Formats: sequence, structure tokens, C-alpha cells
Amino acid sequence: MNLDSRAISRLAAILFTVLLIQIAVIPHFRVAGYIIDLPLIAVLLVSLRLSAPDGALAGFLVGIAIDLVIHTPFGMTALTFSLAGYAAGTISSQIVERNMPTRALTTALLAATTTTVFACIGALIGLEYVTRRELGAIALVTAGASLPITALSDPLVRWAFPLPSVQINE
Amino acid sequence: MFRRSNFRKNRTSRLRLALLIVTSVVLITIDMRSEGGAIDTARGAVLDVLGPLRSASSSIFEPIGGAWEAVTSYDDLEARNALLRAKIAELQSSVLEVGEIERERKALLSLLGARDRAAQVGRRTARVIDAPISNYQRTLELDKGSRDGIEIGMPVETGAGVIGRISAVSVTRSQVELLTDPNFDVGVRMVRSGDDGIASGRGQNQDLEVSFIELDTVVIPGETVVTSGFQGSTFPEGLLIGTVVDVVPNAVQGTQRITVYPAADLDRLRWVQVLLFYPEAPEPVIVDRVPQDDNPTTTLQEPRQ
Repeated sequence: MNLDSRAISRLAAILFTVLLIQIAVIPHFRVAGYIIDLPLIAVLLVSLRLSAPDGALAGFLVGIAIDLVIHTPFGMTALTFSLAGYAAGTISSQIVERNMPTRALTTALLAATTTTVFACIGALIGLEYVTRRELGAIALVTAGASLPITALSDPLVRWAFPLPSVQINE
Repeated sequence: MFRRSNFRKNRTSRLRLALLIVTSVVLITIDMRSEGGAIDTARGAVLDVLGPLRSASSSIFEPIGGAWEAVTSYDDLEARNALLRAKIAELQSSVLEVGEIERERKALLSLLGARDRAAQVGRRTARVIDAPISNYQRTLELDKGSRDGIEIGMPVETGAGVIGRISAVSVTRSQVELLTDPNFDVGVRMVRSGDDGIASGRGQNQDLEVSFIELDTVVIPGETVVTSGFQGSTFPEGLLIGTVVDVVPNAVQGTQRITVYPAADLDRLRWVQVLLFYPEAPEPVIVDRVPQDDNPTTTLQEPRQ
């Protein structure tokens, strides 16, 4: 999908709002003691409407913004979110027209995978952020949270990416 | 024709992904290899800019979040309460013993003419203004920064014991890396035996693990663990870390794996103290010049009997 300037500005507004919510609100509402990764879910939902390179770029930019506020190596979230955006963008053509449960389950699966990838990259560079038990719980919480978020944010995503109007000539 | 254009499109798309991956890896490398560089400055600036927003949101959402936690984690809270009550009962029995050991330690220090460094270190009281925003960080944000004399690496404690160290500083804010962070390590001393080891974090709601305590050292549950304060360490000697709850000998490595329950409650932190501790630089080690083969005048000599 080629993005026009209106779609880009709407997309930027959504992602910026998501970042502010993650910084200011989400940490106060933990699920089973863990914080929901709203920016990751947002990147996946948006990338499911984009091409693979655009999804990767969206993931990279959101990741960089997150890297500025959390104390993990700078670029690590950007790397993980780029891969997540690319993966979501790659399968977008098969998913975007499907029904809501299929999209929600795809987002949940990608969210859990990305969470695991982040922890693996951390372990690879010698930084163990979470234990295996915690990683399972975090992946489960992120995947579980992405199900209702996908359904609730659907109107917002549709607003950001309006379908092109088709003129029917009778 | 279609196949060729599709192949070209895929190639371009992969190239763009590769470019983003390389950029990320370069940024990670720069951040991990440099300390106090442009990235830290940028993070400090963001910390300052977002500080008021986070403080305001904290005061609005914290009470609501507390109610949410009470609803969603009621069973967990009940179990944790029961566990804490059991720990209190266990620790109450060792309080007298610890007091006696502390008096003994102070007496020994005065006999040796050594000073109790932890008591002499200046402290800066700071308010915890926000909790971590990600599951991968065990940090807290404080309302004091470099203009209050706070520097990276300084120990942070409550009246109950050590909670962590300063991991990032901006002009008006600072971040504390909690001692439960899996990357947190500190040199510790077992008070009873005087043996030194390394305490490491094991994750959220997990006890600490002390390693490098030899197999023949007698360590008993209830024993107090304090910082060892080796020369060059960012922690002064004698800060309370926690109490031993479990000891598992490892015959293969010839050491013991000791589990330590942190003395400070890391869940409900409101006010903390930053120790304005500036570690002494380790003394330079003078190494004898290695004799060179081509220089006949500096050959190794047999020690005189």
C-alpha cells in the first residue's frame, strides 16, 4: 500500500499517542504483574496494513522512540520492532482482508514471537533481562492483551488507512 | 516479466530491512561501548522533558492503578501477604542476633582503627516519581538528578536496606537499577563468616543469588548479608543487602549457591536515599618488568636462599 501524506500524518499521530499512553498510563495498569507492550501491538496492527519495508520502517521509528526512554541498549527495541514490522508487512496481503479473529490471532502470535526475539537478542549480547518463566508470562500477557486491543483499535486503524473509494459505473 | 519485477521488489524490500538491521546493530554497539556519549545525553534530555508528564500521570493514575491491582491480583496479594507474614516471623527471631553481630562488627572496626564508611557517606533523599514502563527494565525514576550531586553508579537504599544503584542521570531526574535486575551484581560479605561473594539479581519478585562462597564456609539461613566494599567498588562497605533463606552446596564447582531475601521491599517504594559515595580509585599495581630475551642484562635470577 502506498501511503499518501494524510495517511502518514494520521499514522504518526496514532503512534505518538500510543507512545505517550505507554509512558504515562500503561505502567499503572499491570496484568498479572506485567506491563502490556502497547507500542509493539500498535506496530503490528499498523504493519498488517503496510508493505513489508514500510512496516519495518514504522517498527524502527517506534523502536527508536522507545529506546530513548527505557534503559536497554539503544537500538535493541528498534531492531526487534523492525523485524516485527517486516514480518507483519510480509503477511499483510493474506491477512488484511480476513475477519477480525484471524487478524487478532495473527497479531497475538506475532506479539508473543517478538517478545521472545527481544529476550533472545538480549541474551545474545549478554544481557538477561528476564528469566525463562518470566519471558513465558510476558509473551502470554502481550499476546492476550493484543486480542481485545486489535478489536478495539479497528476503527482507529481504518481511520488511518481509509479504503480507496471505488466508482461504480452502471 | 511479472516474476522479474516481483524478484526486484523483494530484493529492494530485503535491502531496506538489512539497512535498518545494520543501523540498529551499529547503534547497539555504540551505546554498549561508550559511556556518557551522545545517546546518554539524548536519553537524559528525554527524561527531563517527560519528567513532568510522568509525575502528573503518576499522581492521576496511581490510585486507579492501585484499585486495578487490588481487583486483578487479589489472590497474588493474599499469597504475598501470607509469605511476608511468615518471613517477618522468621526474621524477628534473627533480629537480636543481627544486632549482636552489628555491635561486634563495630567493636572490631574500632579495634582495627577502621572507620564505618557507610555511616559517613552523605545522603540525598529523593522521591520515587515513576515505575518502569517496560518489562525489561528494573528501574525506578527519582526526582533528583545531577544538579543534586547524583552520579551514575551511586548506591540507593531505604531504611531497610539497599534497593539498587543509579543507572542514568539527567539534570533533574535519575534512574535506579533495582537489585533484582538480572544484570545487577554487587560484592557482598556474609556477616557471620566474613566470606566474600557476588550477589546477583534474578528477576522481578525473585530472591538474590550469592555465588563464589566456598564449600567449607558455614552459612546458615537467617544470616545477614552486607556489601563488601572492595576498593574501587561503587558501594561502601556494610550496607544491608538481605538475609540468607537457602543454601545449596555445589560439590562440582566447590562453591555454595546461596539464596538471599532482599531486606528492602522493592514493591512499595515512595522515598529513597541516594548515597553520595565516590569510590576511591584502585591503587596502581606495580608489575615487575618482564625480562626480554634479547637483553642479556635482565635475565631471571634464582631467588636467594
